[in-house]
Amino acid sequence: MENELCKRIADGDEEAFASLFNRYYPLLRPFILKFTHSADKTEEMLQETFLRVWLNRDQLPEVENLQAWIFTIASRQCLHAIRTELNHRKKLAALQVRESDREASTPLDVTQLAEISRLVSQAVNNMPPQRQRIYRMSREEGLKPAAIAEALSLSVATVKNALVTALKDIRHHLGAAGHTISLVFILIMFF
Amino acid sequence: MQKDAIRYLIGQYMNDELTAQQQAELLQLLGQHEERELIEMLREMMEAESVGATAVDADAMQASLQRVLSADKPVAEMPGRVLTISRRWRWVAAAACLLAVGITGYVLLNKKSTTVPVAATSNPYKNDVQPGGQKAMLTLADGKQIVLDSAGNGLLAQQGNAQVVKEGAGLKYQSAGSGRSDVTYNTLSTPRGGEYKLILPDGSKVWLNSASTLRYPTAFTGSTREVALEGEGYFEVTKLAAKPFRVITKTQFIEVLGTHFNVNAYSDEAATKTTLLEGKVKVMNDERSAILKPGEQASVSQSSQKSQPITVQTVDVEETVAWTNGQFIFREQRIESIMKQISRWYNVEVAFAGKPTQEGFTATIPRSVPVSKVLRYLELTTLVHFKIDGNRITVLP
Repeated sequence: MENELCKRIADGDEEAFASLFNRYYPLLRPFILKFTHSADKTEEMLQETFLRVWLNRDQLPEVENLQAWIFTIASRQCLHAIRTELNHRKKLAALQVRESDREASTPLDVTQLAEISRLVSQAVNNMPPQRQRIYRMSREEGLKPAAIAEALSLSVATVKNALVTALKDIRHHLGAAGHTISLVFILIMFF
Repeated sequence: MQKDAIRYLIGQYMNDELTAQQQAELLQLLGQHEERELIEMLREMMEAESVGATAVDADAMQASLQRVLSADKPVAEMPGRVLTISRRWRWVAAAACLLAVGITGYVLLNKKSTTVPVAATSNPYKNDVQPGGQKAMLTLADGKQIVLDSAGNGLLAQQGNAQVVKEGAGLKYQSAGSGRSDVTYNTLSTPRGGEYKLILPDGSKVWLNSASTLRYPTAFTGSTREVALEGEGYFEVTKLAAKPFRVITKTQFIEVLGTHFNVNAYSDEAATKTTLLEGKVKVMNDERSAILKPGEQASVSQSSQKSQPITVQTVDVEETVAWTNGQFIFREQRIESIMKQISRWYNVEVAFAGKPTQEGFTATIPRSVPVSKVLRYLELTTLVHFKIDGNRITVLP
C-alpha cells in the first residue's frame, strides 16, 4: 500500500503526497521542535524536508523503508542546523558578533522558497518544448501520466520518462544556483 | 565511546544546556565523525521521539503543504484554479487533523487488540468540553491582580528591583537596577483548565499545571531560594551551589542545588510525589529525609499526621512530566486517577456511576483535544463508558 502511494506520488499526484505529508509531519515535529527550540524554525525545517521529498519524488517507488528515508532527510537537516548554530555561537563568543549581525541560519525561509519557485520557472522555460509541455500539464493542470499520454498521443512510458528528466533538470538547475536538493548521498545508504 | 558522548551532547543541546566548553567539544566531534553515522544517530533519536506524536495545528500544516507543492510549479498561475484547490484542501486538512490524533489514540488499543475502529463522524455525547490553555492570575506584592493568558507581551510591573515581563504564554522576572530594596513576594495561580510557565529571577524555570499556585520572592537575596507550591509544578532549577533552592509544600520540603524535577502536591491526591529527572534532590519532612536519584519518585502521604514515612520507588518519568509536553500519558493507570487529571485540565466535575473497572489503562493523548476525543479513546477499550452533561462527566462501567 505504501508502495502504491509512492508510485502515485512519483506520478505527481498531489493528494497522494498530501497523505504522506499528513502522516509524517506530526511524527517529525516533536523532535525537530525540541531540536530548534523555535516554532518558526521547526516549520521551515519541516518544509524543507518535505520539499526535498517532493522534488525527489521520482525516486520514491524504489525506496524500501519510507519512514527511514524521510527521517534520514530530516536528520540531515538537523545536522546542518546544529553545525550552523554551533559555529554561530563560536563566532559570537570569539568576535562579539552582535545578534543583529546574525546570518539567516535557517536554510529555507520564505524568500528562499520564492527563489526556488523562480529557479524552477527558469528551469522549466529552458526545457525542450515537449518535456516542458508534459511537465506543465502535470504540475499546472494536475494531469496523470496516462491522461497526458492520451492527450499528446504518446506512450505512458515516454511521459513518465519526460517527467523524471524534468525533475532532474530542475534539481540540476537548483543545484547550480546553490540549492542542493539532490539526495544521491542518502540513496547510497539505503540501496 | 565517542558516539555516546555525541549523543549526550546533542541531548544537552536540545535541552539548551550546553556549556561553552561542551559546545566546542560537540562542534569538534561533529567535524571528526563520519557524516552518515551522525545522520543515522540523529535518525534513531528522531524515531524514538516520534512514538508519542502529538496533534499538530492542522491549518499551519496545510499551509506548509501548499508551499511545498507550489514550489515546483512554474510561476504563472491560472487564477481560476486556485479556489477549487483550496476548497479541496480543506477536506484534507480535516482528515489530517483526525489522523494526527488517531496516531496517538491508537496506542490505547494495543492492550485489547481488536481492529481499529474509525471514529464515527457524529458525536455521541450531549455536549463537548474544550481543553484548558495558557491561563493564570498574577498577584503582586500590593495585592493587585493581573489576569494572564497567551496574548500580549511586555512589561507588566516593577516589583522591587525586578521587572515582571510577559513573554507569550509565560512570565519572566529580570533584575533591573541594583539599588537595595525590600524583598517582595508574588503569587502565580493557575485555574482548573489553565497552565503557565514562569522564569524566576535566578533563571530557574517553573511550569505550573492546572489548579496550582506558586509563591516566590521577586529577588533571591537570602542564603537560600525558597518557593511555596500547591498543586503541581515542574522545575528546572538553575545551578547556584551557594544558594540551595527549596520547594515547600504542605507535607514536605525539597532541597536542590540545580536539577530538573516534578512535584505533584495536589490536596486531592493521596500523596505528594516528587519525581527527579536530572541531578539530585533531597526530600524532607520534620523527621525524615530521602535523597533521590534520576528516575526515582518520593511519596509522602497527605495525612495530617506529621512526619509521614517517605517512600522511594522507580517510576516512568515520561509519564510524570507528560503534561509539560502537552500530553496525557497513562501507563497502566486506574480510571479514577485518569479522571482526576481530566477533571483538572478540562475543568469538569466527575461522578462515578457503579463500580469502576480495576483494569489499568495505557494511552498517549494530546492535551489539546476536546474532552470527547479523550473519552472516546478510553471507551474503545469497552471497559468504561461516559456521559457528558454540561460540565459534568459520569463514568459508567
